[in-house]
Amino acid sequence: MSEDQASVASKSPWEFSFQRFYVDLSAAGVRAEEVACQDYEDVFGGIARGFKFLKDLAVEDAYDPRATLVMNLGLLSGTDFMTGLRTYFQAYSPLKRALSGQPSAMWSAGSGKFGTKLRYLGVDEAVFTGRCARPSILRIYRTGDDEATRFEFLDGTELAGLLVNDKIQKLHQRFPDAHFAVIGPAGENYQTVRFAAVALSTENQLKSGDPKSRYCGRGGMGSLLGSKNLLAIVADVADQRATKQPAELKSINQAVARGEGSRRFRDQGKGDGGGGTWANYEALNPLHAMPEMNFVPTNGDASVPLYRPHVEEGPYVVKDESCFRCGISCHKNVYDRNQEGKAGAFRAKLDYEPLNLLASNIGIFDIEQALELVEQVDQLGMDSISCGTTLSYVMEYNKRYPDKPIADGLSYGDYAKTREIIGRLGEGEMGEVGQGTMRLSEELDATSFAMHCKGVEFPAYLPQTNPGYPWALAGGHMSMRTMFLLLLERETDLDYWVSAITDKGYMTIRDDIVGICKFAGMTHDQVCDGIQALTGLEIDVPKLEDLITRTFLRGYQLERENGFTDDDYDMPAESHEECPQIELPYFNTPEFFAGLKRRVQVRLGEMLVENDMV
Amino acid sequence: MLIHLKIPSRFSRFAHGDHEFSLHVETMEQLLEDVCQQNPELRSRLLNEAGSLWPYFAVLHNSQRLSCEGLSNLNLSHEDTIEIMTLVSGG
Repeated sequence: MSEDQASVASKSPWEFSFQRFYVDLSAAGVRAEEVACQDYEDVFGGIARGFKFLKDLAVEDAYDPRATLVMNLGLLSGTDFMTGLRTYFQAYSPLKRALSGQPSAMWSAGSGKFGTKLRYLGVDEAVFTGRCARPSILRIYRTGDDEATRFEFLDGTELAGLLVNDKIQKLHQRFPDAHFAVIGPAGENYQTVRFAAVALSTENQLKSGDPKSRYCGRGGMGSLLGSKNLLAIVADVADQRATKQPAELKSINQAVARGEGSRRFRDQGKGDGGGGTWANYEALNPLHAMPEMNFVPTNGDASVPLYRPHVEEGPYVVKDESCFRCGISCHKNVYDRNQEGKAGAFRAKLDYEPLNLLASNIGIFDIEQALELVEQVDQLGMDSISCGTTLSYVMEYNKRYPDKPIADGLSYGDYAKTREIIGRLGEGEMGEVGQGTMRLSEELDATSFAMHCKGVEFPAYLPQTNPGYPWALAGGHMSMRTMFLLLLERETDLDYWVSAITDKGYMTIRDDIVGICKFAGMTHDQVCDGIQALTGLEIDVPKLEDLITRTFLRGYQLERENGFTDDDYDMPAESHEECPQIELPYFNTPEFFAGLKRRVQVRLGEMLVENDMV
Repeated sequence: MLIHLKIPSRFSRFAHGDHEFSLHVETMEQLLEDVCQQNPELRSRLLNEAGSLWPYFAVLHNSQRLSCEGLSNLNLSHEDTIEIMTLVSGG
């Protein structure tokens, strides 16, 4: 949105417009269009506009060059709203699919500074079709404030095969004002790796040279970029001078940095912070409610050495670092401790998800090994969730079927072999494993312990405790917030869970519409205030909630229109089995889930009617 | 002495709509016991069978996070604030 649009309060959606660029990669041509907004979806952007746009663009093969990949911003991306840093990639996914085989619409989001640069360039949305004739770099740039934004296609051959950080640092030398979206070797090997990620560069990364990208991990958006032979997108423009923030925004930003919503993600050492997602280890493991060994917790204390306080006892320093102009500092970056006792060489950024799924859940309980694996997966440009969960499936399969092992007989806890397999996977040499858990398990006819829904691997929360997973549109924890409900609220009745999924759980996609980070923990009121202050758009909480609901339903509708039937909304059979070591009520039985599914599907049908979407 | 207690707002539905309380107690144990007696549905959400807080909560004493050791040696003073914060978070 242009800046003058922010000057007057209470504007209607149709007083806004946005810039969409159609990028034909086959023809190396670009067409710009200023689109007049028709509704709130158009104004907000993100997945609200993305789902609308993708509606009639379904493909039979996600890698078909005619397939569309949308890269866009949310309304607050690249603005002064703290954490407004999100860039979205949306497409029919090479990973998520119906049982019938049809690819399904999906998105992935990341922070870093790339989105801010796109905002400076006036690129609200880019729509990619076709395929570059050779490995390419797309540079988006502007030479002066009054100049038009331009696109140029550059030879990317010199980037081919490089790790994520090597690509970014090489590009940084060449384009010092720019930020970058790149794929790693895994994305280049898209035919044999369906869960490659898109990495976005950060300020800290460019200054330090350390591999500190942020990742759009889920759904194989990096594989899709690879299928289009696009190795990097360069958003090349000088930073804009900071403008004076509206007074309302100042107080909202203070709330982001120091308020209630982000507190759990802030530094534990600075008074009242919760310590971030890594603290889940200390929170969940004592109840054996944390994945180990392909989502079946051991009954012991094997994972205890991976708690942050224990890691800090070793030869490591953990620093809480941040994205561009963000006060939350959620990154928990681990460094070797140098001789002065300070941070030496950077080792890895540890969040709960990659740590759990690339360590405890594959039987690795040594922090040094965990650091190596997390960093290896990041540098190859793979989604650590899908990669980790697929590896744990392989290990479990080999344990059950020792006479017909796959992946060289990879087994739980075998660090050396795991490292070798990950390396070969990222280089495209493990095509079977790189298809992800769903396809691999179907091929092996061993689906009961394949931990995914709709082809998207489970994040690091036990499916035994979360019957909401099947209705997540884009990954089990970022698009359906039901994974902690049993732990915290201990409710096990059907009415509660139907409401949890159809009234509340999907509300978490709000931030994928707005352009801010979920770790900001803003209330709807705060988001509306921020939008009003920055854009002048007339928005209140009921309208925002309606928009979120419509977007969720549109995503559900896209699933149903593209091959999903009731059979697709299922969970792996073994996630319904009792696991006595989990110290939480056992309730997600086959009978409970069957009843829940019936009622959720009926309710979603009613919601489509109520929202005039049928 | 009067102690102010804050619990996660999501638990207000188990406490007649409240998530902030002021209670006359002498110790942390009394504080938790009193609030759970007044709001029985809170008990299983806050405390395990041994009567201790679940491990997925952190305790802040006058806005400062307490370690396990700090919690067991905690001495309360009149008008102190105790906050119970949920530790689990995903993303």
